[in-house]
Amino acid sequence: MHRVEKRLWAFLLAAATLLSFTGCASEAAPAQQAVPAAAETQSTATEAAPATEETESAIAEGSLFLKVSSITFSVVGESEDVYLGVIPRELVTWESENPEIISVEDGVLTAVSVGTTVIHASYEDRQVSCTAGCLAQTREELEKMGNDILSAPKRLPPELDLEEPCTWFDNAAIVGDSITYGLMQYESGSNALGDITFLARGGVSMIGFVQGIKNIVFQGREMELEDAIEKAAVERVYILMGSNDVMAKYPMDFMMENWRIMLDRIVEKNPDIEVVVISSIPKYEKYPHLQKPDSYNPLTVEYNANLRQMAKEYGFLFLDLNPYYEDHWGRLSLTYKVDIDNTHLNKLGCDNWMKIMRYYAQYESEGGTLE
Amino acid sequence: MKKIICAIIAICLMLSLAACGSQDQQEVSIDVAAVYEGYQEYMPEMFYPDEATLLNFLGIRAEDCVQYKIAICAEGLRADEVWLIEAKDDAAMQNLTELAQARIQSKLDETESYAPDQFLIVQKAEVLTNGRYLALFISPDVEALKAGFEAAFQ
Repeated sequence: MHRVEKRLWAFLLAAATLLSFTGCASEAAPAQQAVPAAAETQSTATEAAPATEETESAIAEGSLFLKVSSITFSVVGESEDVYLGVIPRELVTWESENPEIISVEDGVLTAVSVGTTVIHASYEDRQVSCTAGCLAQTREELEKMGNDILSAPKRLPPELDLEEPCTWFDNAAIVGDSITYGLMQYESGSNALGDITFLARGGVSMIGFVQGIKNIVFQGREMELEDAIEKAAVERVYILMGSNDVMAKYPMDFMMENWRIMLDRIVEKNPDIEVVVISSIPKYEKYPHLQKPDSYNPLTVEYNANLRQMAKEYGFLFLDLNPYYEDHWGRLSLTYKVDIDNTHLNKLGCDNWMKIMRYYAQYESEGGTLE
Repeated sequence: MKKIICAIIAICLMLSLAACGSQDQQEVSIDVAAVYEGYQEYMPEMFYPDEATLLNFLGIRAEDCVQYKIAICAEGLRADEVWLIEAKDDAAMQNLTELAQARIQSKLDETESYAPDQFLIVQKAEVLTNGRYLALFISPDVEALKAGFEAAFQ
């Protein structure tokens, strides 16, 4: 009887163990969904930041960089320097196909009469060109033109293919408000800025950062800007901030003081960081002739001049985005604005921004420097 | 003897149930992309963040998800947002739930003074869980989205 009992015990235990395994298997086998796009890994090429070239090397191998592929002056008499650099300016030969419309001297174009022509810059076997034109003889004549003409962008950046892979920004972050947040949305679909890190949040302002009212959100957590930059572990940070400050019409000195406080905090926390200050962009105004000196766009022009000066004082870089968005009233061009408001950028506006950033990065890679 | 046998059987049954209890409690698996497809009539134009944006912006690690569908309104001024995620394990689920709650708080902070009409929508946002499935809904049609999520498990 004792032996039978032992066998019975052994049998029962084995059966129970089997049951427990099979029971679990039948329940714990929820069908695996074939998804993991999530789990797919993406190879991330990293490339060293562009090194500065010696002048001689720039002359031997460098390109001629123009600021624009097209510029349209509003009225006769306007002038603008369209040369960005790398080949020293004094070595470049300039030619206008029709100097009676647009004249050129050392890269500075001047509108002589109404019309359109082509400007060539060359050095040895290297040549670049841009189109240049002028709309009107006088301001009065200009203002009689239709809004479809006057709301077109005055300048177009050099063309480049955003679908080409990009590694310029793999060690960079870009800080901004809802305008930059919009860029993030478009960039996320295209990857046109490679592995750039976005530190963007709607409604943020410099005063908000300084006073801790509204901070940046990084990796799902709200944190102070300087901490987010540290956590992002990047070597360069682009900052486009100010539209909400300018909109609130804070005194200019106060806005600049807030910038300085933030820059000091950023540098204190991230001593090796390279800062690129980006100029603020205009907004569209339906009735531009009603703009006053304290309207958004005139204030933005003043704000950007202060930003440029401040960046210079700090030894930081400055990327002037504003001219690439202006129309003939100094507003945000209709070409680039979303339908639902007058401040944010549509896909063309974001593509424009990404082209400019990539073009200037390419320029830096050949030894050019931002202001 | 009978008592011993009964006791053994009872213990075995308890052990077997306990073992199963420590495993996944889900009984139904769903395809989150298919659930999202059912939401099209309620969605404005949305954008679908890539993995880098998921991590840097929302804090979501793709490797924590068995499957996911995350959509954010492409019009920056609208608050609409949907997360449908199957977490890979309990720890990931807890982290994702915290991130979803933090996201709602962040959207509340963003919209309160900036877009009061959207603030009202975010106030009604919901985070739902079912086993290791998580849903976050920020939408004027939050009730319809919730119903779609719940129906998927039936």
